[in-house]
Amino acid sequence: MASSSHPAVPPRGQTLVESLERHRETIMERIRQANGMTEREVLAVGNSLKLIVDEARSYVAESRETLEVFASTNVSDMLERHGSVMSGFVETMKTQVSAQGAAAAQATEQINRIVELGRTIERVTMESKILALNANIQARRLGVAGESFQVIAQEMKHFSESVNDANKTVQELARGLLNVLPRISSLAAEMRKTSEGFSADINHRVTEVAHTNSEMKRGVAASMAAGEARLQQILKLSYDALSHLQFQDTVAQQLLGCQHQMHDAINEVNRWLASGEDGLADAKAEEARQVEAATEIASGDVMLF
Amino acid sequence: MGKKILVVDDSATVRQQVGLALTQAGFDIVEAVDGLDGVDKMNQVTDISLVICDVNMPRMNGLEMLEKVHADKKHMTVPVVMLTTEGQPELVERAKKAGAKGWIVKPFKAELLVAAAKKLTAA
Repeated sequence: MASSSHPAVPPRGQTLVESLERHRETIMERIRQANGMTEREVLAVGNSLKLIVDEARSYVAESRETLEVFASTNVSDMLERHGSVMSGFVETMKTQVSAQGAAAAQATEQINRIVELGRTIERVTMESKILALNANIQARRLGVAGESFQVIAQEMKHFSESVNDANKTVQELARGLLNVLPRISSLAAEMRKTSEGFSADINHRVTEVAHTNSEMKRGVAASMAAGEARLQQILKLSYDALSHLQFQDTVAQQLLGCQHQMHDAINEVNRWLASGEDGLADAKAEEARQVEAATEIASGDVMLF
Repeated sequence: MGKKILVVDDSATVRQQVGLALTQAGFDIVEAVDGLDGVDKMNQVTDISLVICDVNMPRMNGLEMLEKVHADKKHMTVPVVMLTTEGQPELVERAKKAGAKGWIVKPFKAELLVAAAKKLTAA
């Protein structure tokens, strides 16, 4: 108690000093309570701030992980590989269809030669027939002596007729084939055309998907950058909030200063009561000296030596 | 694992605020409630890269702790920054003579604190 160090204080003054001491104790208790309360609240706000930043950080990290997995999937390469297999298949098909067309053309040419050969056979059988007829006439002229020639002439006639019949059948089959082969060639040409169209369509679709994929990748990169920027903004805001939260310690220090000041005031009253005006003048001179000496560094300054 | 910073302050809110600012910048934090606790933590925890220390604390104040830490060969190279509401030149001068690497007056700006920590812990 400050009053106990000043026994020279008169009784009435002693009562005043004791009353001031009681007030000081009450004020100190209230200050302790206020400090405790603001400390608890500020700590709670600080914890919430930490959770907010941690949540934002986790969210950005998880998003980045997912987006990186997506971005690393090389859809373009995959498409190129599949497209290349498909193109190879279509090219093989085109080659085979071309070969089929060429074979049909070759077959047509050979059948035309068979038809031509058939005409030769027809001519030969006609000549054989005429020959057989002449031989028959000559044999009849010879009478009995020509009877055997007549038999041969008859056989020759039958033979040429058989050959002629066979030739006709071959010609009919050849004509039938000649009717079918152009259709085969035409189908082969159509197939080739369809294959070419299909190949072009596949290439177009691959290009389209590759383009969409590259657009999506650009979108993913932009999204990742935006997430990072947001996180930086949240960090900045949390730093601002931290700066504001520091009022608690400053207020606590100020209140502690009030306590000391109250204590000094009581001592001053004590000195005044004990020594009269001179004691007070000495105290004021000391205070002025202290104020003059204190050229302080301002709040928030960071000074590295 | 980030670099370890010892934060010595008798105010729980200041320890929390300094801790939050520095952990968000990737540092690991060790806390002490006064100078005596700070000296103990220096001896218990290895690889402390920086000490951020209040001046006015019970049992042992920040300047006493600074002098004690720098008198110890094991810790004399660890940089110490004072973080306080005090700004009197004589205190700053005493800290400088005792080997402090900086003086920050509360309330501090988190970005500046982080920048100072990064600079002083850079290899």
